[in-house]
Amino acid sequence: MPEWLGRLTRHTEGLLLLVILLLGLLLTLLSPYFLTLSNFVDLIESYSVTTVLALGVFVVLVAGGIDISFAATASVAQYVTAYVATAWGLPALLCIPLGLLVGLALGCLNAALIYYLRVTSIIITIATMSVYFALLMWVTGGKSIYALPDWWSSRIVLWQTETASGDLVRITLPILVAVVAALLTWLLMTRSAAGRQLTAMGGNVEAARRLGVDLAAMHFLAYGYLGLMAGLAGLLQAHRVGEAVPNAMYGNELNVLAAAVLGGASLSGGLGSVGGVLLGILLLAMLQNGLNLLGVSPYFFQIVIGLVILVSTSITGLSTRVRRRDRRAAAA
Amino acid sequence: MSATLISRLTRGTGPSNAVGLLALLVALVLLFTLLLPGRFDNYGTVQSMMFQLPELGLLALAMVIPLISGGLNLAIIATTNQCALLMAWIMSTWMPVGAGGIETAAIVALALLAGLVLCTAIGLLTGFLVATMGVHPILVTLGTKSLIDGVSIWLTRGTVVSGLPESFQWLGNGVLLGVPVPFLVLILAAVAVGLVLTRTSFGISIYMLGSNL
Repeated sequence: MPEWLGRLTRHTEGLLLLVILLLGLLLTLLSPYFLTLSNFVDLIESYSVTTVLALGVFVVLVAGGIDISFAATASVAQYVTAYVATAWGLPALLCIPLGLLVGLALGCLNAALIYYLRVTSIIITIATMSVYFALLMWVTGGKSIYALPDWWSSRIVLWQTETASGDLVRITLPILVAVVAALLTWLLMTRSAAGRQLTAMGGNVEAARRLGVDLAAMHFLAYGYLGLMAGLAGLLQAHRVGEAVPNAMYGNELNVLAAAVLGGASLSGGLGSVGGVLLGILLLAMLQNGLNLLGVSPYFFQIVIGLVILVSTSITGLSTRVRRRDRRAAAA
Repeated sequence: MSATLISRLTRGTGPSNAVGLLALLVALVLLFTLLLPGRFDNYGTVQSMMFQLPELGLLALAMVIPLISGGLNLAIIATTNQCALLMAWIMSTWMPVGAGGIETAAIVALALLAGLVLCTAIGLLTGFLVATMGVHPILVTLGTKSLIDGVSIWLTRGTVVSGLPESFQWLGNGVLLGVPVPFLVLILAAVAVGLVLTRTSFGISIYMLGSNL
């Protein structure tokens, strides 16, 4: 193995990049539609909601927790906002902050339950997922809101151009939102003291506590941030489809988790990067898109996703184990 | 007597909250009995609960073992579904028309065996990935869940496999001495899992694994 390849594959991100490049090459050879600008931009747009959610999940994973109530949170935030926007006719400037606030509040509720009751995060968030979603279905009776106001449902194109082949390439609002969310998450995790403390808490809670990290504040930050992202994703999803359907996002938790995990976020905390999460999403998106273009049965897609998760996590797990053994051998 | 009973209930292995749950159960029964006079406190209600409960109960028994070992299995439902599909497929396609009692019994037994083998194989693969590859159980089972569901949907094209022999349906719908058969199955399984967990070295090892890996 040449040296650059060894250096590239030492990190999950490098390995992922390599796989993505190989997959991209394969799909380009197999389908003429794959490597076009419009396909690529469409891909990013259709995965914008997943991206925003996965970034939030990533922060919680790095902090050493897990949260699977985010899809329910997003649905609640989306519906509440849709309700006040249609029934009360509130303007966008009030509705958007309200949606984000609802998400933030539900996330903070998760944090409070997890921190003050000292119950494992997965148990609490399974419970709150169930409660949030059931309350939503009970209150709304499962009714969708179709008549969203124009400011919300009309498509916002920031920039568009026609390629030589005649395809229309549009940079739309969801793409911008996903990019801003990624930047914000990157800033939080790598350029702020709070981000370093979150990572420290995920790596070793006791060590972080003894260093004087405020664990309660960190819990509120991690789960609150995910709640905020979930609220944002809820608003974005309604913007993309033009309606608020109470159960539209429910049941998508595991795909989002898979995207974050593919990018190297470890469930034991303290690991992962925003770049890795984005690459993980890109890999999933390319797989789905490529299989579609190749005319593979959509039924088959789930099998591929499962295999990709198993293989990628096994490689990460094995390489960690081998590295630890090497280090031990070197120390002896 | 009641003091020893309570202390025995609270002592159990691990952070047992049996007393709290029992109290909650009693409170719920009282509440529903008061709110729905004559409609809740009759044997029909109890019987219908005994029909509904076993599926959840058996799945919870399946989940409790990985939980005690410090893991989690997200793929239990997917595994159950796939194994049910396999059993139903064997019973509905291999059964000759007008099969006699022995033939039916043989094929039902074969189907049950095949389902159990499939479930065990999936479980062993999951265990292998968790133990040998060192991957977090949530991730492994997230992958296996997706994979198993994908295979099930891909093979069946999302359609239903039906046409099970009537003698087999007794297992789900039958009543024995006033008690639904599925409930008896649950009791048997619960006793078996309980014995394995508390009376075998394998079971105790699982607790030890969970408390300190």
